Amino acid sequence: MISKTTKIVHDQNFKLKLKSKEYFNPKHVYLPIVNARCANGEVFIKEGDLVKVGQVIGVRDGGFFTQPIHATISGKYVGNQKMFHRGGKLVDCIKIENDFKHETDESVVPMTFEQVKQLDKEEFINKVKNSGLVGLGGSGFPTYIKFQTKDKINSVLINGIECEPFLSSDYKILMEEPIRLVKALDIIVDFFNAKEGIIVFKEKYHDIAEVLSATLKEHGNDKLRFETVPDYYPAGWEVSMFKDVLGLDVPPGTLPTAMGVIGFNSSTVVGLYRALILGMPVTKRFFTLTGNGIKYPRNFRVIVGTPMNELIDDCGGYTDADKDVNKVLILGGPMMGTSVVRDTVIVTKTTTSLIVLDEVIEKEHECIRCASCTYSCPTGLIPVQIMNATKSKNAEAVKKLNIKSCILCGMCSYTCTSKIHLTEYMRKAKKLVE
Amino acid sequence: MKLVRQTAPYIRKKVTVERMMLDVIIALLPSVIFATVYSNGAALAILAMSLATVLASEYIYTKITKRELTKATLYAGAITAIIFALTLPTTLVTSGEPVIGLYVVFVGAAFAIIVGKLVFGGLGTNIGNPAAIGRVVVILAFGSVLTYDAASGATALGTLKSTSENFVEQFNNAMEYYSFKDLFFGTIPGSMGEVSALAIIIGAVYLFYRKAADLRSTLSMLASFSIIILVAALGLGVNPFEYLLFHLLSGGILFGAVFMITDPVTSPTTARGRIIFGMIAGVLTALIRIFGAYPEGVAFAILMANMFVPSIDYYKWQNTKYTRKFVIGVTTTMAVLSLIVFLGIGGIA
Repeated sequence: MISKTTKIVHDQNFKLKLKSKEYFNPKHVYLPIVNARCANGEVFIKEGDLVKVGQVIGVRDGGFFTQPIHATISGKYVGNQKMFHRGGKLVDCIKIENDFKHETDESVVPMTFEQVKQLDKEEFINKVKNSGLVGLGGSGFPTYIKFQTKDKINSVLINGIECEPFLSSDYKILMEEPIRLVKALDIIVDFFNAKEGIIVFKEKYHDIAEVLSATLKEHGNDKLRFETVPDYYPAGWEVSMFKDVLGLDVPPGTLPTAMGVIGFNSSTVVGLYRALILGMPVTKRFFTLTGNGIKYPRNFRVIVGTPMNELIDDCGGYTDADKDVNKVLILGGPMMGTSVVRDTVIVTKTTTSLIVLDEVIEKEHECIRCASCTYSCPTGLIPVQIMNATKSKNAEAVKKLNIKSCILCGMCSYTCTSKIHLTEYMRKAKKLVE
Repeated sequence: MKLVRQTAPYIRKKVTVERMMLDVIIALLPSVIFATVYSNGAALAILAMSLATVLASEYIYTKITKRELTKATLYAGAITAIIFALTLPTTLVTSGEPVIGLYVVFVGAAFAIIVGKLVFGGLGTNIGNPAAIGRVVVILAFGSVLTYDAASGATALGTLKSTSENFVEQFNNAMEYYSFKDLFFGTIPGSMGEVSALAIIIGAVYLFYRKAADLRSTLSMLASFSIIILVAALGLGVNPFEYLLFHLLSGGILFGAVFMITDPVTSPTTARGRIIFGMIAGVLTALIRIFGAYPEGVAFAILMANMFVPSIDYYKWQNTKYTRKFVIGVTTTMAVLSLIVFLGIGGIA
């Protein structure tokens, strides 16, 4: 159909209202010493050492920043083991054997809400830095760097929109942790001395609106409120959020902070609450395990470092495991996530979900230039022309067609009537002009 | 069971190119049925000849190039064949030698599919609308065989063409001979698929409801066509609305605007591009009708508009937004063209 696609339709049979299952007792946890943003790392403990929850046991070095590695369970360090990271690479991991005692380290010192508010800027940033908090929506960008901005911030937005189908981590956080969310937002607004703090989610979730209204009444102040956005894809893209909520156009290549706004993912904000008030780094996270390839899809709260195959087993395993149906494992959403070929991948701070889909091989047809991709592109690009320019290796044209502002949202491939994998060409085009 | 790697996105919209093409074929059915009934079945001979020629060519092409004969290729070929057939008059086989008539269909259809499409590399690669190419070849090569009506010898548009001192009187005579009712229902001589506005409109409603075609170029073609015709009516001194309605309901403008200009392969790939594209085709159709030697020129106009597509799609000029510059550009162009037409027709004197 030649039309602008704004909704991702999917037949998802998923019990959103089901309470998240706590999976806090894996036998071992694996903590990567390096990751996608940090190429080097160091371990501070020796084999056989006993560690406690929240203890700093190593450090990752990302060039312009370092990131402490915290133990997420208490137990014994039994050596390093190579495990698959979310990027699909084998990396060295610290392997800790669980003693099932969940003892907290002495370094974890809680603070009261008032104490946190009295921290000066430097202390505040240091505390966030030492907690190792990163963008938990999947970006993995160190959060303390966002607090170091020199720009004057007027509005703080919390992104709980989660526009990709299948995912429900943000929904769960807004429903289950509203008090932490509101209090942490209060702290952030205070830190920036901003005019307003806004929690944003989709207008179809009336239950979130009820929960947040009540929470804001009790714990909020007149600077804090919530706003809803329409249900479309990609509503959760930061630029769309600023546009929908504040009517603000953030041009491509401009940092939102330069325009006086800043956005945080909802799970990052809850992580901030833990880091500041509880003094606890990210040791647990919400995790969604879903898709038509999994028997009993559910939301989890898991210990960071848990291998995913344990969670898959907990969900009853794969559907039709004995039949000849191949599975595609996706970390993240079905539109932008990364595919992995090992189910022993470990849950890290930034993995939000695992989607297991039965493999579908789409038959690609010739492009009939229907222009559905042009009409559907949220950044106003012309994917079909970028594809043709990429095929003929015309870097100048690719550049002029503004491939730089492509966000790889996957809409062009999704909407294509000829089932051409345009997003793959967009990735190639980006490489072409690098 | 194996775990396999794919790249994002992993889910696709439930649309297929086959279904889109099938919708176009369904939208063409009212015109096909009308033509068949109105001609007592003679239309079927032309349709069958056209379909056989096109599909056989597609089949041989896939054999030569060692490609797979997909459903999409077949449907696309069928669309070309049906549209081409519908632009021909049934008099080809009902009056004179049917064998010669079918030979004309064969040559036109073969030219349409082979020169119009396959030499470029098949589906998705051609630059000109194949059906329009076939139609133009028939006009140029077999003009003498193309008699529309044995009795009157002239189509509705043809009656406006013969030179006469008093155009107002000539137009009134034409309207007397061809009532709006006849023009609307299609009980007039002419190309078998183009005569019935009703059948085309029924097809169009389905086509656009199913979003199997882009409405933008259709609307822009009809709008720009109407503007030029209205201006011409002012210059000629006839009732502008009667003149416009007469032009819209006769000839191939409706058929071309619904089924030919909407061919996605030969259209630009942006919304603004399609508006410019439709505008070029609409203006050219009007200009050929008013000033040209032929009474009708939809096929020529669409082919000429097709030639502009690479320029419209030139990467340095791309923008997907309706900027102020674009709106001003389009309005100014239309204003200047209208003025030229008005002066050219002798509107001042």
